[in-house]
Amino acid sequence: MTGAPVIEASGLEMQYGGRRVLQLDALAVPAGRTLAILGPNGAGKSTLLRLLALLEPPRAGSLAVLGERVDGKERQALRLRRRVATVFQSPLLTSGTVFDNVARGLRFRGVERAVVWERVQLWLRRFGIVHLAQQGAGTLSGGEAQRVSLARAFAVEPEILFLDEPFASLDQHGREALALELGQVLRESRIAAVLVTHDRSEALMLGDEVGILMEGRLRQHGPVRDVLAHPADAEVARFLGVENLLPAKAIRLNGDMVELEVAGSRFDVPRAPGLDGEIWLCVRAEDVHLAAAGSAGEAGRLTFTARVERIVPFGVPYRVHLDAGVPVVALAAERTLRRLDMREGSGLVASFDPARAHAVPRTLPAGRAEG
Amino acid sequence: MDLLLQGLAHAFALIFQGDAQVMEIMWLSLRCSGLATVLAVLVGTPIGLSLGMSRFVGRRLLLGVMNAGMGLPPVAVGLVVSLFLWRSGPLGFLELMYTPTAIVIAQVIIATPVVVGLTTAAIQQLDPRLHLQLLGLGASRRQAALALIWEAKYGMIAAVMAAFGAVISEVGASMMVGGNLLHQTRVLTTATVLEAGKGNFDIALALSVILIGLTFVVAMALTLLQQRGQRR
Repeated sequence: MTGAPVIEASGLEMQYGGRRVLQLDALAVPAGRTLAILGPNGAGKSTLLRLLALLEPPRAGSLAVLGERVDGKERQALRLRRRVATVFQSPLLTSGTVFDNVARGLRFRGVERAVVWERVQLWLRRFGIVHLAQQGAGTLSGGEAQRVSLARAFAVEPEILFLDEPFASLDQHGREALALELGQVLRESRIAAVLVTHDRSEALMLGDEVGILMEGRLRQHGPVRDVLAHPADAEVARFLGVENLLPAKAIRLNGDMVELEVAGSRFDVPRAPGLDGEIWLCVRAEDVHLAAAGSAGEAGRLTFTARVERIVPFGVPYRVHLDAGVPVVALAAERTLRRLDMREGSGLVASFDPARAHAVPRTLPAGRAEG
Repeated sequence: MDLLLQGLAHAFALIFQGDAQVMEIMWLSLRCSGLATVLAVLVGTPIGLSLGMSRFVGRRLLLGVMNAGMGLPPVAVGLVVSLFLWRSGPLGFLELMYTPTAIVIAQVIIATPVVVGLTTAAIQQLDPRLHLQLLGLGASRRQAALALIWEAKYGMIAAVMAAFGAVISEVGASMMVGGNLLHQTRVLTTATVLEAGKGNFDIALALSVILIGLTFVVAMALTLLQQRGQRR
């Protein structure tokens, strides 16, 4: 159960040097849930976060935070800022000890000494850094410093937590460990959070909902898994890591089936939402199955003969670039490479299950150029 | 050489015997330059803070003016202040000419650009996002400003040292607006010029030794404070 949204924004706009960096029609952050704002670098994510966290006034639009319509006056902004907390990409610790840093927000609020001590101890323990309490903030490792930054934000017991790429300064291992821990704290404390990130896995790990922000506009918003499985358009799909966007056209309806033309071949596939007119079929590389040249296609799968163009040892598994009339990318384990005797220029059969594909219209949203 | 040694010997004698006139001159110098430094810090720090932190129209121009002001010739400042405080000047009715207050006014004008310039530089050394982080932790604008000054404290100490050094050692402005009146506006620098002019090199040397000593003690104390903090 979720209550009224803790943030409601509409028509938010921001410009820097005459360039519009954000134009947001509507956005609501539900109480007790984490909204991940996912977008590429330069999409306006940090700008959006600064507006929502009342660190900067918007150029236009209306914003309500914790049930109060924001009037742009510093007095109200300060009062509301004291009910929320913000964590930035780098820990931005101040001089003094770890204890001083975690106590910082409480001291700004004039909280009593005994309460400060208690609260700081609680959050130092919660983030596993109680042994660092008397250490100078300048002597910490990156991971420790970011834990201090998180403890400092939680210590003020915010009603909304704003997180601006909070793991970006950490290595892969530290990032995963801290993201898992933060996820647990967020679930337990049930405070609302807004996380901006360019990392899909962080959004997936921490977000209940995700908003896709591209070029200053919110392109899609919904539960994380829905958005990842059903991107709204080709650009969102590409950003979400869908490597194959196959041009397709629904030719005609045939009972429960649709006759589909994909890369010059025709297939009958079950009717599904979005299979209408000119579309892109979004197929993830991991859903493309590879078989030896000449092998028969499995019933119900969309099967193409293809030629290997390039095999890229991009981590494990390999990434195989194919020419199937249209460019297709598939993933293959080393043993598949050996079994199919795959090398550049060799032929094979690629197929995918249409049920695993997702159709988006070929025309981009209004105002977007096809590219 | 003999003269120098004699002078030095006399200087130390005057200092250690606590010569009343020398002590009076020293205390007046300390009071005027100390007060001018404090006032310059009070005026210059907020200006330096906003120049270092915010972006506004005319910021670069103002910063340029302040940086140029760090090299203001004291004698020119003294002349302008004199013109204002002179009996017939716009502020003549205040009757401040040839008073310690006039010296303080001139020295504040000399020291303020130094404080502004060095405070701006110190604030610009900080991560520009620190201000947002402090606000994001619930700081009021004032709390955030104080916290930023605290974070830039070592640079601020340098600003105080430079400002005090500039005013304790200037002679032109103090001479112009103070007039070097005995028991009233005679400070270490103006007294040194006077005594040297009269041929009393031993007294002039004594005064110079005190001047250098004062500057050294203040700078050393501030340096120790600065370095002790940075080692932490």
